[in-house]
Amino acid sequence: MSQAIRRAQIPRLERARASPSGELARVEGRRVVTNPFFLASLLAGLAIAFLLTRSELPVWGRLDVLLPVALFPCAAVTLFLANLASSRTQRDEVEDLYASLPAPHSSVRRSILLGLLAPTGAAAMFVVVIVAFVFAGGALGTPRVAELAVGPLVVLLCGAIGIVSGKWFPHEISAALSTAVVALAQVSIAFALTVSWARWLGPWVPASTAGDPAPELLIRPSAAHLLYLLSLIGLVGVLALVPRTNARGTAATAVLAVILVVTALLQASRATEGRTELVALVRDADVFRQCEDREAARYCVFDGYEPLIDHWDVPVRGVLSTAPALPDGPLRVTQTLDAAGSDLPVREQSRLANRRGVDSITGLPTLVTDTHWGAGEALGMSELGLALGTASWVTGLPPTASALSPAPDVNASVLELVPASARDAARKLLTSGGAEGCSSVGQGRSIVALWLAAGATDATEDLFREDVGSPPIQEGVFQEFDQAGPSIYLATGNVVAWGKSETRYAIQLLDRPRGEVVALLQDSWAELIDASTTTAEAAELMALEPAVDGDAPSVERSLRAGFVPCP
Amino acid sequence: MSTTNTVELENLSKRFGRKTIALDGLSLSAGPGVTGILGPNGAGKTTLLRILATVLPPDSGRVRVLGHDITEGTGREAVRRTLGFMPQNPGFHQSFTAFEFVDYVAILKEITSRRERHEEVDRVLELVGLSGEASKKIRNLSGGMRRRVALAQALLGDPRVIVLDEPTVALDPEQRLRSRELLSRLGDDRVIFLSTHQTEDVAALCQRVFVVDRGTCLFSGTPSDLADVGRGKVWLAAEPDPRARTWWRTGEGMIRNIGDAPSGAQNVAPTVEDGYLLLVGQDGRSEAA
Repeated sequence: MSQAIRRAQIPRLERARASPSGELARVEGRRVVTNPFFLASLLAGLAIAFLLTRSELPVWGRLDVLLPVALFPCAAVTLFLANLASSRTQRDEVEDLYASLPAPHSSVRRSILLGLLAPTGAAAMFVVVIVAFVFAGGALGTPRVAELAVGPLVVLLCGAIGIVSGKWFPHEISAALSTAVVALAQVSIAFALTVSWARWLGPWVPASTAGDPAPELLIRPSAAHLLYLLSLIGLVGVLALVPRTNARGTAATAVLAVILVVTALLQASRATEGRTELVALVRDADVFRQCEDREAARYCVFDGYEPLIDHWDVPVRGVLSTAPALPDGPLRVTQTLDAAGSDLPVREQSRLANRRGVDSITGLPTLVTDTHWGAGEALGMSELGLALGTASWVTGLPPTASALSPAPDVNASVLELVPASARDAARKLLTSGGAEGCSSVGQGRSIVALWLAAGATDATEDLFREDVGSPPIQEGVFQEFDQAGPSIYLATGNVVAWGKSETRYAIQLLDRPRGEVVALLQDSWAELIDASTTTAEAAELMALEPAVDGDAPSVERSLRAGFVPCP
Repeated sequence: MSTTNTVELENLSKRFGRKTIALDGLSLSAGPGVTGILGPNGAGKTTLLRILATVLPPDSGRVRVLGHDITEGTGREAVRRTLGFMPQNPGFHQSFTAFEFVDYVAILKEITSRRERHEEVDRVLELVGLSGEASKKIRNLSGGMRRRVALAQALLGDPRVIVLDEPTVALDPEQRLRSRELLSRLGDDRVIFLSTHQTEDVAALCQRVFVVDRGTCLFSGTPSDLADVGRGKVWLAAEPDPRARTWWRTGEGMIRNIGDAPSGAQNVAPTVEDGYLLLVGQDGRSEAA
């Protein structure tokens, strides 16, 4: 007789009877979180979180809403694995064996449900790590726990849905099918439903279905939604545990479902409260903004965005410190809240759009920024946009659209630059507010403005040389104003369309020693920034090599594209 | 025989639908040791074992396992705590390793202390000779190894009643011998039910044997009693005998006839298989009844 068989005679295990649910849950939870697909989903989540934060300075009011998206792969895998776990007793035909064991079969499903705390905990840890990482990177504002909790709770909810679908449809294809259905439902509710409150029925609710509004202009009943999410988890959890033949249980879950729907509707109706406060934030923006003077610039920001001033000041100072002379100041750089897609009434959204670029107290043009600021590779884009606005102000070009219309004196000066044959069209464009901006093609001061802006920071120079100076001009940074003509239009919030020839001249200046160029500017500053000085004259003044890219577009063509000559 | 150490079935009946009678007033009793259940396919063996394992409730009759009535909730629960069951077609969670699967069953057997449970899982896997394969996924194990995994889980917690439905199917000869050795040792103080088509297993292992057919018990006795059913009814001849119910050519080239032997026939000692064949053969049933 073998030794092993002799050992079969060991005394019977005298063990205390205990519910196996806890231990089973531990095993089930461990099976999910150690699954290679689950680990891969966390890596995918890291990649998503990286993409969400790499190109923009994080603002918590925006990021905490977006961050749950990074846990979508994790939620999908959890749903898939929970479905397989839930259906494996039937799929693997171990029902006879389990029916002979002291623990009731219901304890298996209960344990799988309990085991979902493991992936939920892993998701929560993931969020904590990302939050710490983002904080270390200098995020603005404070994260809202109720928004951050949505990610882990979506993981829990998806796991519970996986259990229910595995229970009712114990088929090989059930896991993939239910994952796809839930994903489709989430996307449909979040983005496809036109009724604004209906999107709150989804587990995750995007900030907006249109535009990229400022977080301050959104009404997010986060706590109520969290309650809704927890109720939903409770409902699905009950469905997971109720025996299929239990009529009472089915009735109870139906009652719960009704309560949930009512809760969701109440929550959605509450979401319209607080609009008055938002309107006040827009109408009386100056009350909510704090201003800070730094040399020739005045920066005004909303509460919580003060650190942005340091970022804005870099390109602004880069331009102002190089210019030989400055207009009567100060230069106003004002933060506005992007209202497109916000929870403001549509009328207020339009009103806010009209006020952009005008200081509400002085009525003077001001450079406007919003709640976004580039980071990493996108930093140059943000800095160049602000530097071009600053350089426009320095050289007398309109820094914003508000400097073009509807002021009568501005309109008059614009119309003087337009040939008599096109004046009616230009007047119509200006008075209708349809002007996209103005064209600086052929104006010598634009060479100076472009050089000042390009040289403001390392990032602006790199971007200018890479994306503007060398063909092809990249779409999205600079877009061609006229495909056949020599103009380019900077698509980062400025209103001036810049000429290709002027850009080539600016590159020539960038290639020269900075001191030499500054000396040239000092010698001929007044002439160079005169609106009547042509590009050719300015190039001659600065001894630049001819850089002709073709004929300038006719004024008529410019007007058709929505551009008037820069006054 | 003490009732707390026996399994007693009285007048047990089970139907599936209106027409299929799986068990028809079956009664039997068994104490410690290995009890063999023999019978042709569809005889009711698996239904009997599933009832014993508390998987299936009987329609009528009484089942007492170690003094507990399994038709009552508390009795059924008590039996499950002292039962090891290996189903005829044990399913497996293919993505589990052998250790994980047995460990999972151990939790469902309420062995909740992790250290104790892992020791127990190691023990039963060693008993069935699977220690070296414990970390292999079940999907990668051979059919014989899977049967041994199923046997291992049935031995968890040192059950006092073990119900095994064809445990030696797909085992190689060495593993069959090993299983016999294990079961005979376990049978010293446990009640073991063994359903099988392998009459040699019954002859080698069982203290008692029941032959079941069409839901009733055709025979109850020791394996040698079953062999004795064939006494005087097995003979060797050079040619098949038309009076034989069945015959086959032996390795020595002689014809082994089973049936009513003619006078002067060269009778040989019957085996359990001979007795069984005579009982369940086409005419055997009416004769035995």
